[in-house]
Amino acid sequence: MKTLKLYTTVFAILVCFSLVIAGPVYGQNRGYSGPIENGGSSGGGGSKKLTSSAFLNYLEDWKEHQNPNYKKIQKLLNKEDYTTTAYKTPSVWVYYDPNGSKTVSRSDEIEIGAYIENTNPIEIRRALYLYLEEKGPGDKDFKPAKAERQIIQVNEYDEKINNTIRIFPDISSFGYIKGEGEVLFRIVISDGTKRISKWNSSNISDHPELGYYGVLKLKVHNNPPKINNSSMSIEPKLVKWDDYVEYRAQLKDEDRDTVNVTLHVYKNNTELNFTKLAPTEPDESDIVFSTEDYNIFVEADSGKNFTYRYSCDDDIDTTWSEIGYGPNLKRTAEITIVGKPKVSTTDPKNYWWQEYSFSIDAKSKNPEGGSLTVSLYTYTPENYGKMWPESQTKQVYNDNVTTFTFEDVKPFEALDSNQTFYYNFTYDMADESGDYGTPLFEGWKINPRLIKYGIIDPIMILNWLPMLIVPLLGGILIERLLRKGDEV
Amino acid sequence: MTIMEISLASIVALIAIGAFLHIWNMCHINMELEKDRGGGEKIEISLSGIKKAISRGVFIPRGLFIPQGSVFNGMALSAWILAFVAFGYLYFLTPLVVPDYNLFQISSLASWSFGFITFGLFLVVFGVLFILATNKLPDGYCCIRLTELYGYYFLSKMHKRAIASTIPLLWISIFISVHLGTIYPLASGVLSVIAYLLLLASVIILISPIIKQSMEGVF
Repeated sequence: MKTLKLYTTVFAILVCFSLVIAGPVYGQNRGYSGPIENGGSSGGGGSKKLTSSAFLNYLEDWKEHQNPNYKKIQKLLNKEDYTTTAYKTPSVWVYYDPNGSKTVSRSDEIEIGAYIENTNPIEIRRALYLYLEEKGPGDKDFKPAKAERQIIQVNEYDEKINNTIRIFPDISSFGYIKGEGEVLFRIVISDGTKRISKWNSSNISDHPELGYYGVLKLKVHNNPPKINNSSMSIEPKLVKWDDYVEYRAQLKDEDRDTVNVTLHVYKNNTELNFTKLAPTEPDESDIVFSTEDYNIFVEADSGKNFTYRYSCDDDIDTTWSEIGYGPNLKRTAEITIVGKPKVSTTDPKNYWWQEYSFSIDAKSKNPEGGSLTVSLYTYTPENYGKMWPESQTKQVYNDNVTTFTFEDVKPFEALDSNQTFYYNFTYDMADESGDYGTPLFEGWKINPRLIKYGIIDPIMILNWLPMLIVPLLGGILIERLLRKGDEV
Repeated sequence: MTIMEISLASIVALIAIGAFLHIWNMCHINMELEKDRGGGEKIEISLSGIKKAISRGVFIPRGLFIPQGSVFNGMALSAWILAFVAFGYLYFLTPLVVPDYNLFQISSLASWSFGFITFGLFLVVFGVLFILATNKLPDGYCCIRLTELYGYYFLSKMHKRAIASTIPLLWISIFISVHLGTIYPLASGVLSVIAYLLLLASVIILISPIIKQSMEGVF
């Protein structure tokens, strides 16, 4: 009996378990059966899953066959437009500092923003998407400016007066504009309602006193690049034709454009142009053209003088510098200076009144030789560049060294004493350096003694002895003339 | 200030004092004469009185002028000219004392063999012209005439000999100054001081009659 009771209980549990397991399957089959009741293609079987594409197919099918439940589903899925008749369109202007000049250079700092008034209560406000558009010089239509979209959230307004200003941080200057003229800005707005096609600020009235504009018009001008004329230089100015010459100048472009700088070298009636790109710096940029990089001069240019100038182009304006002078190319060598010039004197005490001897050796580079005139110059602080009056002219040959000697020269004065003297020679033919003279050579320090003669030297006796007698004679002469000692 | 600059100032000051005392003496004589006459315009012996006397002239009767003899007067004038030359050679020959105003600033003259004598002759000519210029002063200023300077003083023989003795003293001073000029830029402090003392002593002797009389007048 007990066994029967146990079997009955187990059976009942199994039946209940079967019912529990079978229940959901049944319900699930029932859920899918609705949509396919007219389709019938799935066969009412319970294991196939409904996909969105299948559901879409069903909807299209029901719509086509005017299924009575289609309207219900449509009503169920449709969401009402949440804007209400109370929603007012926000007002949006382009904002520009009312105190700011509307004529700006390409390098001037500017700030362009949007000014928005939104009187809707926060509950029905929508986020505003602001797009800055510009119409630059030469543009036919507005186009998106190079500025990121700005989003004004519903809570970003002043609580009392319901407005806000948002700056477009990407527009800080007009350096990106390659031109001059009028630039227009407007703002395209979207709040997601799509109620207004191409909603922008163009039609709203301006309030320039407040800095609000429907369309902001700015006049943009270019700061042309300029060469600082006073900075133009040539180093060295006097060179041989194949020496390196550097043309230097300083370029300034306030707009900091990349500038095409062209060096124009004028050779008689021809002009040579050399161009390089120069990125400008905040202050002034160094511009250097070197004959190391450009072949400007040839040997035939020796002995000639040249002029030059620069032009600068920033793709908008071209400016020109003043005419610069140089380099002056030395003549081709005609003579060779052999060794160093020499100076000597008989008395090693080197008094200023001594006689000195100066000499220089030279020979011709021309096989036929030539007549060479040499002059001597001495230099002291008191007598700088004093020329010895007698120049020497001699015939020089290419294989013989000719010595030009200036003997018994007395170039100094008392004030030159205690000074170091220098000397050099000049000549009327170009030497190997293309120069017409030697550099300065240092002599030595002149003895500080000023007076040549001692107190008992005959010359000096002639100086002081009369000075003992002449005053006596002076007194006696006055007395003889006036007779004041005998006057009664 | 260097010793030489002080010495320069002392010589200038001494001559200025001598000139002042001379005018003082003349004013004093003028006042005494007016007192004896019992009338006329008296000149006060004060700075303002002397200033007034200089502006209007100190009228000393020519009768008070005592000729000191041509030989002495000639020697005295020579001594003053020598003193002027000695002064110029000591202070204005080399740049040691007055760097901006001296013979060596004129390069060509300093370099010339006869630069020293040229400088000396210039000093003599200047001194002679100055003496002659004072001689042209009107009678009211006759006591300021250097040619008559000692004529208003009583000079003993000793005084005259002393004044005559300044000539060799000044010769030595000039000689030393020229020597100092020849050795420049070397310098000799001892020789410079000797030249200065000789010049100083000479000037003191030359103005000693003036000093003596002014002291007698005061005390």
